[in-house]
Amino acid sequence: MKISQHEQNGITLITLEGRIDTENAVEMNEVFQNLTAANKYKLVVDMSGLTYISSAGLRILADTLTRSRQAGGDVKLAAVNKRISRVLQIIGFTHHFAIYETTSAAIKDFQAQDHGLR
Amino acid sequence: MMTLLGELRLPAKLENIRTVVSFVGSISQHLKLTEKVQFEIELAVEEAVSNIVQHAYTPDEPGDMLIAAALHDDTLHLTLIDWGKPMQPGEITPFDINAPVETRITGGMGLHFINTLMDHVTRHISSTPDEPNILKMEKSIVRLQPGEKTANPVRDLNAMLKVSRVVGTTTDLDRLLALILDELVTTLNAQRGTLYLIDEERGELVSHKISSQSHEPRTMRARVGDGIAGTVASTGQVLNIQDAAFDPRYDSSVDAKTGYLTQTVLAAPMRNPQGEIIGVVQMLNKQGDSPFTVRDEQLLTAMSAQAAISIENARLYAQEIQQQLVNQELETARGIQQSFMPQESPHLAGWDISMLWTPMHDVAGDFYDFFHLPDGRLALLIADVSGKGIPAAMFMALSQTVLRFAMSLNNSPIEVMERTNRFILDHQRSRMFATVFAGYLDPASGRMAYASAGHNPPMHYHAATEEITELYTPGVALGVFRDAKFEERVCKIEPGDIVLLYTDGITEAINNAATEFGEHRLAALLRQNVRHNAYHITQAIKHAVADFAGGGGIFDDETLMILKRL
Repeated sequence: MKISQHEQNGITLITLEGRIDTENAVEMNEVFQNLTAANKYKLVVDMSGLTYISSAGLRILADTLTRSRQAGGDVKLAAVNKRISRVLQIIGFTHHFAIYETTSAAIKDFQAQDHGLR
Repeated sequence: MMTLLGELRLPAKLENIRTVVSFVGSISQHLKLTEKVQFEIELAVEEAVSNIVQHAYTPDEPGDMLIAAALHDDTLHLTLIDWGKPMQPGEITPFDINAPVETRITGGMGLHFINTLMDHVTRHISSTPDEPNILKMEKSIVRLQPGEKTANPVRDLNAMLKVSRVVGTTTDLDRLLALILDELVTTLNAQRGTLYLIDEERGELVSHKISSQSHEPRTMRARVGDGIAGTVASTGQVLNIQDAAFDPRYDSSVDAKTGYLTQTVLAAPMRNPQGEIIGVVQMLNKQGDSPFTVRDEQLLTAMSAQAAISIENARLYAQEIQQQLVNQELETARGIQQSFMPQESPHLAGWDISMLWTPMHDVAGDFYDFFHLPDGRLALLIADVSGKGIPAAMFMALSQTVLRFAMSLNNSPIEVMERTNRFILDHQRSRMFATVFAGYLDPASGRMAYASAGHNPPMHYHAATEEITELYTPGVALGVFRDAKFEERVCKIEPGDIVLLYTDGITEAINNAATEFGEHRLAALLRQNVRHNAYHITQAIKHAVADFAGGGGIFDDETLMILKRL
């Protein structure tokens, strides 16, 4: 698992790569906890390099979504590959998360909201 | 047929979840499952194992988990067992995927994956502390067509999984060890390698395969603690030696014999999932004049752990095959044994005859026999051989053959017993013996000449007086004393009379209170059923004994024969 983050104009792009399972979900949780603790609630998650995710990782995404929305932000998922998209579908996340084809589309949507162009 | 593919038992700890997942992964690869199915199985297994690790045990009360994989036709059966806290019904409430994320109980996610991704899921929740929790998952599998590749570049680059792929293709231990070693030698770019397994009884390492580059395929042995491999086996630490000639642990006598010059050595322990060292892999002479690197050390350690799992699986598999062979042989033996005995009751005008034969194990030490003699009489036998299982069955075959032969010669009951007794003493040294009751019944008159060799006396119910008498003659079991003496008597079975022959499996069945069924209960049962036909009486006795034994148990074969004169 590799997690990297990059911030631009108040929007944080988080890139998840490799496998996220029960064992390393702890590290992922730390990253997301730190972001929301630092009042960073506009999050775009790049999932193109994610090869595997189980409920431990999904739970963190759901918790982060809850906290972000309460604070007026959002968690947007981007570039979801076919395999992960099936997982999101099974667990019903496709109804709850805003999902974009590319990270730039997700970032643009945040910017449009910021400018009141909804 | 259900084929066991592998079984793994290890402590239910966070760091072991991946071991279980990769174990299942290597099985999926062995089965050449499609990428999609592999992924689904992996996810469901991780969720199930995580549940055990996180909910069944606490740090104060740790425990094990066991996963078994088996194949039945095109369905993969995965069974997960734990001995921890059972799941509470409230924890299994269905997961609502449409509820808002904020209000959703995320705890049910794992179960939702398991139920969705697997085709059939059953759960046995333990009700007592000793009973395990069992989760059974079934997945019908779609195999890759020949030529199709598992397209996963990330995995293909992963040398560790390469080992698991190689080893997943065979369960033959010798071939497996050769494959593992070749893979290690190639991946680490060594000149040659040796794989040692620990012989625990002798405290020695035994080389099981020297890689194909070697010209010395003989077995090498080293004491645990001695030499490089022996040191690794005792300390569990990886040894990376730059120049063997200057290392005091290095035993130069092997090189002296083979003419090979060892320079660099990398040796790592092979640990099974329980963390026990089961062997050592040793790589010799990294090619290209450089020593083995730190990365080589890590790689060899990781690959050894993977290989150790496969070796343990192959051993388990070999045991399983062995067990299956034994079971098949037992089944064959039982079939042969059953074919010795008449399958149908004899048809005699004016008589109703029925029998019951229930071996406790696959094969029995009890037997019965009857056959018609040319003069119209019926020869009949019931016997109980000492011991159980295959030896008893073989002895039974011998005894039955000799008894039948003697009776077919129309020997008197005394002669039958004496002859068989002598034959058994002369021809078998295993000190087994048999109690036998043998009789000749004349169906027209109802007269039966009989003799007993230490057998439970059959019961004779007299319709006229409603009395039960015993058909007893003094005489010891066959195969004990060479000069044993037997006697014969004659009884007369009148219309309405019943003779019940049985073995001690019936009367010695024990109930919960350690009380034997006993002859008095058997006699009472016979009396109650005198109006019924012979078959009905055998069934009534069978059921009464089973009911009586209940939680106690029946510890012996049960054999019965009913002769009823109409």
